[in-house]
Amino acid sequence: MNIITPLLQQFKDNRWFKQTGCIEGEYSKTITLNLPSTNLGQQIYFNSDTELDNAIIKTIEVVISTNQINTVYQNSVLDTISSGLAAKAMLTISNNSREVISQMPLYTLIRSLNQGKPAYFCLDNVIWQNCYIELLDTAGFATTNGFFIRVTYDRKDII
Amino acid sequence: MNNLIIKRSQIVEFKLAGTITTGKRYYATDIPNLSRLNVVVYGAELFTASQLATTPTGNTVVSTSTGIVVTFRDNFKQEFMYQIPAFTLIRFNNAGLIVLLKPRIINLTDCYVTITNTTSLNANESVAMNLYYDLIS
Repeated sequence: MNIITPLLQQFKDNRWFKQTGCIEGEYSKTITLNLPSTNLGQQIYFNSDTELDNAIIKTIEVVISTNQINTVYQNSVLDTISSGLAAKAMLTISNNSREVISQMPLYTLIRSLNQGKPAYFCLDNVIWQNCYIELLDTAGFATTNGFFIRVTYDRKDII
Repeated sequence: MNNLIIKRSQIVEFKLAGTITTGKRYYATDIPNLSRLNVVVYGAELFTASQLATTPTGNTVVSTSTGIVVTFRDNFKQEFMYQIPAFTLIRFNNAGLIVLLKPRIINLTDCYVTITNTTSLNANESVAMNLYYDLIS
């Protein structure tokens, strides 16, 4: 018999936590973002993605150069960022009215540095083209770098 | 083992303004997103420069966490989390687990960090933290 305290039940009912190692999302997608230039405070927006706009985002992972050296963006091979560069950029997630839902330093989204544990999300109102990565420190970045992002999600019609 | 699900998050800062002194409190900068009464905070994660070099407001993040403790106050001014070592709140130090809090409405500008050791801390750096929250009806 499982005994669940009211506090744990509250976390479960509100989807504030879940077991590590469980199914992350029904689908997985890799997104590459290139750096057209490297200016301080530059906000690099994602391209429109209807699939993700109609999805519930379950995890977001930043892949670094020690895990995958290169990433491909529109037939160009880019150098995946290192963990050091990940500490200098931030992911901002927004909804349709451009309200900021979440600000996440890229470093904390690196799965391999968190003993394999992904960062779980439950985001059902994201407009992907309103989301961006912001450069908070440009030292070390080059236009040959690319951000390698992996997103897992459920389609809204599944839930 | 359970890990936190992010519904909403917000970076908050405790700016170490002026000369840094042992025992001194530095309060959080106000964030309108978290000032609403329908916001409950249920998780927290702290960053040093290794995880976040600069805050979105342009402040350099502290390079060490070992001389800092964090206190959270709720909307009744109760110090419900008193002097947690900053090191404990770093996800990387907890095998990827984010620290869960009993969900509460907090009074952000009453939350503060206390300096226990000034080594490697510099004036006008910031202690940066992500608060994970949800909206309640």
